Amino acid sequence: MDEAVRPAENRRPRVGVFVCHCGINISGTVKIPEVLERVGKMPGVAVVKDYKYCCSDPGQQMVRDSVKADRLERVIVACCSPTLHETTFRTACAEAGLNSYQCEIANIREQCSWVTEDKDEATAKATEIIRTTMAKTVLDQPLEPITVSINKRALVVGAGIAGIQAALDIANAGYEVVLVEKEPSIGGHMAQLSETFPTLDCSQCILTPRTVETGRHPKIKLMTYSEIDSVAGYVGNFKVRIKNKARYVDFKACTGCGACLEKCPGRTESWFERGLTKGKAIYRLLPQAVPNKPVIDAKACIYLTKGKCGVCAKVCPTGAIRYDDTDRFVEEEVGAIVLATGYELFDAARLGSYGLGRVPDVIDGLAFERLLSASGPTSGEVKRPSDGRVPKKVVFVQCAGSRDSTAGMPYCSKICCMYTAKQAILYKHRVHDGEATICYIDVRTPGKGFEEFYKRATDDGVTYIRGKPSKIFRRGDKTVVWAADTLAGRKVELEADLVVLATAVVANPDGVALARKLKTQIDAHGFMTEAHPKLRPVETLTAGYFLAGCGQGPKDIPETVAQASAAAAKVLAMFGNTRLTHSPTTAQVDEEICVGCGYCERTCAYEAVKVDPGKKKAVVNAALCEGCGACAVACPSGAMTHKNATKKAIFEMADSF
Amino acid sequence: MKGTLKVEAKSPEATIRGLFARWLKEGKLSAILSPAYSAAGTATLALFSNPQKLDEAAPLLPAMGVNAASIVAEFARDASPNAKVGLFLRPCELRAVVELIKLKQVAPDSLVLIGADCAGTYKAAGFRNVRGKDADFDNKHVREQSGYAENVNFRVACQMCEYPKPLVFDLNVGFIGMDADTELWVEAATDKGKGLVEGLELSAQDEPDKRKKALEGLSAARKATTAKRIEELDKAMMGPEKLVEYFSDCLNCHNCMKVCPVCYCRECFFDSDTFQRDIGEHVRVSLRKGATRMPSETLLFHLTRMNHMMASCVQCGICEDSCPVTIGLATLFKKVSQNAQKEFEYVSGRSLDEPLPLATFRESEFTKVGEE
Repeated sequence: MDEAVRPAENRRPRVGVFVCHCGINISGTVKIPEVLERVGKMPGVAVVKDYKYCCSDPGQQMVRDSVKADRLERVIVACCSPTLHETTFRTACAEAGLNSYQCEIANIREQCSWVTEDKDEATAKATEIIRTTMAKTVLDQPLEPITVSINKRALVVGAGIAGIQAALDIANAGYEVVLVEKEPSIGGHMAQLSETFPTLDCSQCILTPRTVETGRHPKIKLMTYSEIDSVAGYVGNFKVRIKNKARYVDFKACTGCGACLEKCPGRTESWFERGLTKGKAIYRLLPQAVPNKPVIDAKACIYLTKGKCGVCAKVCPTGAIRYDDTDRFVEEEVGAIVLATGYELFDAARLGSYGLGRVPDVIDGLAFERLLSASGPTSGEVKRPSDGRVPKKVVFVQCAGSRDSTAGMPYCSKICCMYTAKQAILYKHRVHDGEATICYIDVRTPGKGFEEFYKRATDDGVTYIRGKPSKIFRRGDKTVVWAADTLAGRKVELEADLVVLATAVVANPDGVALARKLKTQIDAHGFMTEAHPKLRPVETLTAGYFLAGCGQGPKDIPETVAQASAAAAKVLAMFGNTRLTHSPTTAQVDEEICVGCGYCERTCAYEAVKVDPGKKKAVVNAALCEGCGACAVACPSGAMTHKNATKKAIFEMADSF
Repeated sequence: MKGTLKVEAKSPEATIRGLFARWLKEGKLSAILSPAYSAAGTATLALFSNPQKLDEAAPLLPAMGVNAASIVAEFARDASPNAKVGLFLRPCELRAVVELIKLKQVAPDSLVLIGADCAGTYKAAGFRNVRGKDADFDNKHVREQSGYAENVNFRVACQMCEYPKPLVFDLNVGFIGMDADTELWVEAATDKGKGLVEGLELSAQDEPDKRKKALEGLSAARKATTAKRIEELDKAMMGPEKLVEYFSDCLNCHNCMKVCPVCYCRECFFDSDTFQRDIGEHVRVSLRKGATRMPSETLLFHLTRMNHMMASCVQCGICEDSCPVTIGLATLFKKVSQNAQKEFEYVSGRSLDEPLPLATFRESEFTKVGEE
């Protein structure tokens, strides 16, 4: 168009565009000089510069200098994803006096140079990405971060070794911790284990000092036999409703003498003993339990189900039995939450061909731990469940469910190679003339001392057969395993007295349910998702929630403890501040337009939007809002918008393209 | 509570007017919103409160100018402590009221939903000529329509309507499948409804088979008509080019949005400053393509309206009646909303408890999108 008749543009803010080469990550595909030339012609662009690594110190200095020298009112850095360096450049801009929210990233790496080899197309696309970013950036308003107070108390959910470690670390730093455990006592699965790989130290011996310290710690408020009912509020200011399940035992009166445990006639399946022995209706999980006081399983209690019996009440010397006990709810206010909800073993009964639960003398790894444990049902003697005989031939089956996409678990459970080797070694220690055979697909030993430990198992005479068993069935008093020896290229039939399945580690179903309730992210297998797989491994995408232990993915004890301490460190880092800052790029409501239909409220995953019933208008709690924009999409009238990503901005972006 | 109600003097309409008088006299209702004839004989609506002044009430009047839910949304956004207003409305109107309750635009506490069967309506515009001076027109219509009689003069949406009976109601008065000269079918579904039928002489019984069959037959016939019309629509509209052509007459008057009972925004997004451009911006946009159609964004307006309305659209077709350039919106919205609601296993206005599908996340939905 002839310049003479081109309508004058409204004055546009002065924009500086900085194009990063990212070494050759961008410049290898995108022709930078062409981009510079085309961007230079866009209206409003005051300056265009490029640099090999904009994120480096000199790169940032270039941006800072240019903001001042060129009197920039907006900055666009065309580089990698904003998840990586948005903060870097926004901080640099702020240091030079520009409002940090008027700096935007145009992602020309992940969304451009990395997805094509065609240099012309990459160059054209990089230009368009910058053009659309420009359309939004010129509309960006200056914003100030939101700050909120912090309640410096933490909630830890789950008191296995992960939860215990996190709670102790936070408490030892001087902050109060509410530790909630659904079972009557703490310790989790670690309390079930016999000895631990690769050092063979006794699980109980290393765990009990921690459980005792936790139980007695003045800064730890321990709530066993309790569950999270709901969590309201936001990072720094959560309100947690906790259900204390009815125990039917008054913990203040109970001395833990155990008289009731001896006399109780009620019988039930024992979760803790993995079905190897019946539990009693009034029970504690183990003699060293913390707290060492029993609870009554209402479903198994004869008095509570039939109204007769009452033996425990009769023998209790302190009158601690309370048959009229009910669930109680308490509220706690905390600033941070550590989710240490742990794992369960995959129910291998679902792997029909392996016969767990159907074929006698087929048990899972945790059941074998109980057989090996000194505090287990056989006091550490290895006896098979069907007839109590000492098994002379034991076959261990690795990857029972793990690495099996047909069973829904394509992942490696990580701990089974080592614990199976350990179980085989311990078995050989107990039964000197016993034969231990391990069927495996691969043996994975990437840990400190792991390969040596595996070597020790083979040196101790454990037989390793490479191949996945196809079927396990009973023949007479033997359990038969049909397997394959893929190294020798033949089928094998193994007759065993006992078969131990290293069943897959799965996320604890209660943890999965909790994650759904809290709306924290979980992956396809129910494991909680970290905020970034490499750089933010113990945080979640919901601010204020941290992860520890097997709820996030299968891991062994040292790794769990390390992660728990890391989560505690993150909590403590947060508690080191006086106030928390929160991005101001949140949703906001135009009350003139809002009619209170509530689509936004129903769409919000963070419970940040509520319709005020009196005013009939949506109200955004900016501290809770994560700025995802779902509500703005759902709002039909445009009353709900996202600060600096308004509908106007999005339409301008689409139109500019 | 259900049963048949005796019709006085072969006039179902007068019988219902009698019910109105009774409810107002006994103080069971503060007022009743009902179809009415103006003094000039045009079809309208009125809020009746004086039992002596019900002459213009025409509860079975077979013509529709607005969907009355729009009016309900205007006066019943908030509940009032003592008010109890009866809404004597058609099925599509009550279904829209239900959607508006779920969308928090209507407070149900002060309302009693009284439905009547509806076998189809004429456009209100020009209805005076159809009716003439026949004072018994409504009763004749009811007589004729108590068994299904196809009527090509009905509004297009009515010819496709498969819901001749309201889906959610406190009380319903039915004539389909009944001998409407002698009896009406009365059905109270809630305590509110039971309060109204208390004291009426109902001969209690189950819903007559004849009525059930008539309702089913009507629905089936209407579904067949719908399928045929959608087939014709597809020929005229499918594909991006035809779609543009389908809307090419649009004046951008936004009447369809203004009369839509479930289009509830206070300010339409398309009237907001997001779409206000100055001359420079318009020329800039035009420059890129060489020429841009004016008025701009008409297609985007219709696509957005379809997107926003598909879950709650009750297929009343009032949008088409209001269109000055007669764009075939009734069949289009029938198709779009029917397909969308089917995907979500939702029917607009079917229940007060079913959650709104666009705000409900189900892991299992649309599992096939993007695969294969």
